[in-house]
Amino acid sequence: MNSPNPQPLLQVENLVREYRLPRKSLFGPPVSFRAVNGVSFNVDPGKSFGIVGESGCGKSTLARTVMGLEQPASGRVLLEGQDVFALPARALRSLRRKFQMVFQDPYGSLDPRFKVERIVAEPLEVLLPDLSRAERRERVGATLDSVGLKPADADRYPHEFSGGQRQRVAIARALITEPSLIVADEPVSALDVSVQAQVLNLIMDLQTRQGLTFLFISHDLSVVRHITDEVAVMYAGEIVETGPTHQVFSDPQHSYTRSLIGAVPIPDPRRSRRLKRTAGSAGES
Amino acid sequence: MTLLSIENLCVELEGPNGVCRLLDQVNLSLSKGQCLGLVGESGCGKSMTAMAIIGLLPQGMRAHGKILLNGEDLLKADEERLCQLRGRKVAMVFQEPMTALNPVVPIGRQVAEGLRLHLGLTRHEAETRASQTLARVGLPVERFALSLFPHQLSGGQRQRVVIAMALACGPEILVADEPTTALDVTVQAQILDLLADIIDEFGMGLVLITHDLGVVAETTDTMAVMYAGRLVEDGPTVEVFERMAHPYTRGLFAAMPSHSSEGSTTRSPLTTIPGRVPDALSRPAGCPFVTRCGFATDLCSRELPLMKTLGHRHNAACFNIAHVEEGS
Repeated sequence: MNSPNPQPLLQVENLVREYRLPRKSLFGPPVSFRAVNGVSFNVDPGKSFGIVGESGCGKSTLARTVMGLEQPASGRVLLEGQDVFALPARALRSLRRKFQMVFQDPYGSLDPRFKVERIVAEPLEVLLPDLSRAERRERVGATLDSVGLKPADADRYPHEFSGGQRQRVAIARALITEPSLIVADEPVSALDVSVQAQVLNLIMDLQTRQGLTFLFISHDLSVVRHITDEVAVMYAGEIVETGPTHQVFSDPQHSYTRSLIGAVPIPDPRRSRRLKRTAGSAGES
Repeated sequence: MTLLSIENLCVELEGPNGVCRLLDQVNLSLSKGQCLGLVGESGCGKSMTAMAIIGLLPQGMRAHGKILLNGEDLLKADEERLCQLRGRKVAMVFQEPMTALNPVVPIGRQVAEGLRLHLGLTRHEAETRASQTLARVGLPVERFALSLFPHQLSGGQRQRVVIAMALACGPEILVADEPTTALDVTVQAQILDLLADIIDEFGMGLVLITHDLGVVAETTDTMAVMYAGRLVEDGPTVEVFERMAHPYTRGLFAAMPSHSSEGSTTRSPLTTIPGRVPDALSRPAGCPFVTRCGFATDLCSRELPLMKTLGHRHNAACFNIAHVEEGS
């Protein structure tokens, strides 16, 4: 982990993603909106890289573009040196086993009519179609075990699980192809704080145990601060500040980063805004 | 001066498998110009308490106990009286500003609706008052015309409209159910500041429901922690944070990723509360937290702990408070 690898696992170079908006007038040129505007960063193997920003800043579009789910207007995404968008469709599909995604909403991202076994095994159908049923079942069981569920849970439906357990199923689905990179788009924002802690512990544990690399997208600064090694702050489609997490949080350089960090409520009533305001008319706020 | 006082509030639902108790012996009180925070995980009964206060419990639920607003018991009031009180004396701010507003009615008319209904104002008077209220919540009419529709506003602006609707008739109590959960942190800070300003200015009482202990610490004067339909700890916010007594409160606090300014704690495992909130039908006998508690003894699974006073207005319902404090 501490030997510097010459090649980053994920390289994002000058990525631009545009959405076309309706024409303003019949003969006018179509207007476009740059959701991601020239973003570049590298993620080293075994590290976790966080992207923070407010809603609408382009962080989810960035995640989807990195996953190859959206076509960029320009720029490149290199996974282990291979350009994701230069590959033919078939090669991209087999490269997919190297990078998987975990979505935000554990209620919406699992098909309610499928049993957990089928949900978790689905990526294998495409990537390793000649796996026998027994092998597949064994692999599902082992993966469920690694995310803290019981192998017997494979025969249950998503509605039988709580939010935290569903997110574990979603993580198991991402893990089953033994990827090296997992892109997690707000994986814990729909969860209660005690359950959020369980899922975050699982993510940190997987990272140390299996050497996984995470691209972790969140609007929650304390979560990102807790689990990432490096962080990029996005604002209006651009990265305004990036660096080692502890450095960005303890010594933010950009004014936007500072206001973002300053807005996080602190769980200490003696520093509360109510007290500040009661005593505050005297001066600074 | 006590504005709202809830005494032994129980809410029950009759189902095929017998009566199940959703809220059990809830006691709360709120004074003028104060903010009371209700905390807990989802399914703990926070929103149910809010619905009981405003008299909007779903059909089939029975409430008993007392909800006294200036001495008048809301549970004894008939529907007609409740209609007079709702919006006039007690107003509610809902969680989702996207769904709390009517998408096909301009914002000015939505804010003015309560004014015309409760105060009998004419259309013109109501519009003037509505624009004053909207200006108070940071949407001056010069930039935000009354004729705008909700979809033309951002999430934070919509939440301001929802707050303006609640404020319009000058209620004595504002119940805000997760008012900032759907918003970004910078917008959340603005909305919390606005709510704090408003309760000072109008001497209103605010019941703030949230799952975020940071929000509680920053905004409230007193707080109550709920678990499985019961209060497990309450008291002045400063004291509860200084001397957390109940294992559940401590667990919630410890499960939060560190906010401290020293970066050394990153990537250490977080403390978790194993398991999840039991649903109303399968609550354990004895202490509801017994299945998830690290300090549980035989006594806990047999008997229900009652609220014990620990200090100045600070109470907790746990048999093992001394052990919990040693264990920290």
